[in-house]
Amino acid sequence: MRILIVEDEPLIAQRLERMCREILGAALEQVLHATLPDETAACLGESTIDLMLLDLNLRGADGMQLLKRSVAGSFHTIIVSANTDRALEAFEYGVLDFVPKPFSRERLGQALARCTGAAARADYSAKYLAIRKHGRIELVKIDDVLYAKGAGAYSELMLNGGKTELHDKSLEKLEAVLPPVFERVHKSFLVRMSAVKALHAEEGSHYEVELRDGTRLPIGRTRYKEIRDKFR
Amino acid sequence: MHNAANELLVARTNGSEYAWTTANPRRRLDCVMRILAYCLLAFAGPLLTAAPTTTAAPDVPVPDLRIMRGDDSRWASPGWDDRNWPIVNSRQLPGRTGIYWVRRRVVRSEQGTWQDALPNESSGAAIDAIVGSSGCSFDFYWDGRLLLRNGVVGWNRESEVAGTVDFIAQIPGELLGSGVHVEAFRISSFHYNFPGQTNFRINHWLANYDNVITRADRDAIFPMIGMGCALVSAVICGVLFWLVDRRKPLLLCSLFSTAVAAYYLLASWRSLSWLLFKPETYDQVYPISLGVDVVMALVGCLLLVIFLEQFAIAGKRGWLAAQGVLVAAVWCSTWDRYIGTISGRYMNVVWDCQAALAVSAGAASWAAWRRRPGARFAAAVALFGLATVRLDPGEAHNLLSHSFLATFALLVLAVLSAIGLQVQAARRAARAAELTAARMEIELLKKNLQPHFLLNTLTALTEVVEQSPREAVRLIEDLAEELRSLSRMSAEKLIPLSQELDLCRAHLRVMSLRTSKTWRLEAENLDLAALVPPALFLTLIENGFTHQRVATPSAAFVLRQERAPNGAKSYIFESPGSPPDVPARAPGGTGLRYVKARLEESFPGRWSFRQGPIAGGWQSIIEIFQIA
Repeated sequence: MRILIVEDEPLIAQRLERMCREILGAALEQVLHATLPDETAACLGESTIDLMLLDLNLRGADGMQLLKRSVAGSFHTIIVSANTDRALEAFEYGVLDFVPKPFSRERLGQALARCTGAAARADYSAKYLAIRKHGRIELVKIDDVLYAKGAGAYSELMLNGGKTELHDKSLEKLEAVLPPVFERVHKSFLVRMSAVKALHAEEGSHYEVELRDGTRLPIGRTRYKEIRDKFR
Repeated sequence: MHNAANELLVARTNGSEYAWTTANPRRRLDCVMRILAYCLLAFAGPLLTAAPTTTAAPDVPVPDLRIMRGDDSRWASPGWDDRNWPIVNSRQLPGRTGIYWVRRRVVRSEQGTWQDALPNESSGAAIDAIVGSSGCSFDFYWDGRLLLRNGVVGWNRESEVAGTVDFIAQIPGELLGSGVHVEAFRISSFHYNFPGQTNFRINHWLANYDNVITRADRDAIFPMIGMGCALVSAVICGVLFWLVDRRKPLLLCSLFSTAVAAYYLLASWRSLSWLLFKPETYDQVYPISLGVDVVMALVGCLLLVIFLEQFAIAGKRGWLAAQGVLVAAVWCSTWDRYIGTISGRYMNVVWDCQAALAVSAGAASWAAWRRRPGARFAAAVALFGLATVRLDPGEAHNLLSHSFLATFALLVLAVLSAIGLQVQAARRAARAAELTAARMEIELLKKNLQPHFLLNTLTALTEVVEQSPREAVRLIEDLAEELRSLSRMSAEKLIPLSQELDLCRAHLRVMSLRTSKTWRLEAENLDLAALVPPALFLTLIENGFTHQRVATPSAAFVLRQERAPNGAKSYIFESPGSPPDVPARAPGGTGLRYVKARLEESFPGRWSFRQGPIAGGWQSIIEIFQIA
């Protein structure tokens, strides 16, 4: 795992790095540091990362702008900040977790576990998905998303009205930030359960989910039983 | 002859001397009761300007008199042949020249009409008295009978006793038949004391005795109301000054009201003394009229001073000088008339009053133009007074017209209203200042307990604890010192600069540990005892951390002090580093708002704040000007 720590106080950055190393052990491949928004942008341009640990207050700069750009990226973002009053807002933009300062090793470990999928999703869910479009960041309401389709390192979002958008996150990473109303029906599909009209079992153990707009999507054999139970 | 006349006078039981002495207890009690009633009337506001209409005593033209110097009791006889006596105008009787006699004839027709009687009385009430005013001592004879001894006539000042100014003598009925009657005055006037003027006048006419007495009572009503009003106003303003608010205009207003009361007292002294005490003698006319003039000049001066003080009018000396010039001009221009005749003496008072109202109206208008609260009303009242205050032709003793009392009452009202508005504004300002102070204290406490600062420091501390417990203790101590300092000064409006520097240095020690850099505060040429708002420079340091980037491992903030030639004190504060490529925040954030609000709270209207980039940093300059 490659981690970018965006923190303007060296002692705290040092603490974050030390704890990440302790928690992730050999899984931690690289740790990068940035103290200001422009340095962060430079780091992201040069390296591919899996996780960003972001402080919301960098020398007085508003970290929310940086956050909106970050959550559109392919990596996860965990906020490590004393500005706990902005936690809800951060979650709405799709951060994986919000670790309030001062933090313990256990609390940081819990956040990192969410990143690796070893822990449950956060209690708060995103309301928006930030997508990069024509060099700008646009926000898509999660309520408008019917389902997401995996497309390699990216995801394709199907929206109400037949519109589609491309997101930089993989389907796995998207699943981690989307609310529990989305179910992974197939290795390539995340579906909003409230949009499901019916489940179909075809011959040869071929299962499909039918959405209200008539779209049919495949259901993985191993997931059918779980999906059927949730649909009931 | 004199002895016979005295006997005659003493023998009378219904004579005019009865009216002019205060020896009779019943008469005195009657007067006192009447005065008390007038005082009560003074409290009835609506009646103040509706003073009773008096039946005026007109300045009746008096026929020429025949005059003879010397003293002979036979000259009192109606049959004495005075055809060879020189004729003299009754307004130009010689003063201070020994004893002389004047005579005139009065005719009553068969129809019962009199020459020289008051117009209303000639057609109505029966004539039974002679009434008038004079500037001499005299014995009065009617058809040879002595009716009145006014003072003691003498050959020199020592032997003469001054008579009263106003007189009345009742004429017995048997001496009032139709035909020719002869009046004779035996006169001396050694106490006539108008400077530079030797002639005086006798005004006298035939009248109804009861009407005159009633009119005399009525003449006293209005001045008594005026005096009552002014005294009540003086007491109210005095009480407000002593017990409520020690504002100079209140005290001045009390003095102004007292002076107006003194004016009414002096101006009506003839009437009041006639009713209550020993009647005013003719030698008292000049000093009392001078006193009235001086009091009116004082009234005018106090009015202007009140306006100048209350409305904070610039150029006080100029306004006072203007009034002084006007009053001097009035005195110079009316001097000859003033000293010449009794009836013209109050012209000076009118012009004094007009001069004061004119200058005061000008001053109040200037204040109104400068939007001083209440000044427009005051200017309007002064202009009203200027347009309406005159000598009242209806008054027997030449008082100022009733509008003077109305103007005075309105002026007091205007001043009190202006003071009220001022007090109201001051209370609002005090409340706003209290709120500002409370808000500033909360702002400082927020700095004290700023979650972001504390939590970041605690986070850094958790790391330091694990790495170096000794460093951690130092960090805790520095943080505690900063918090203690902030807590101690949170309720203060101003603190010594030395305390502010201690606070800044404690903060820099904390930040040095947190940022792994060495931060210093260099103080140059500072007056450590000077008072500054708390956390003023701490806020600038925090702004420096927020907005400046320092690449070097150590850096210094610099604070120095300069004093401008005009006495202004300048604090020059420099933050090290360079601004980031992308500004962290728009200028004028909470830090600067705090700095400016604190400066305004402590040095209202006499500070400036400016800032800008300099080589290697950012400079903020705070200037505090001296009180003008």
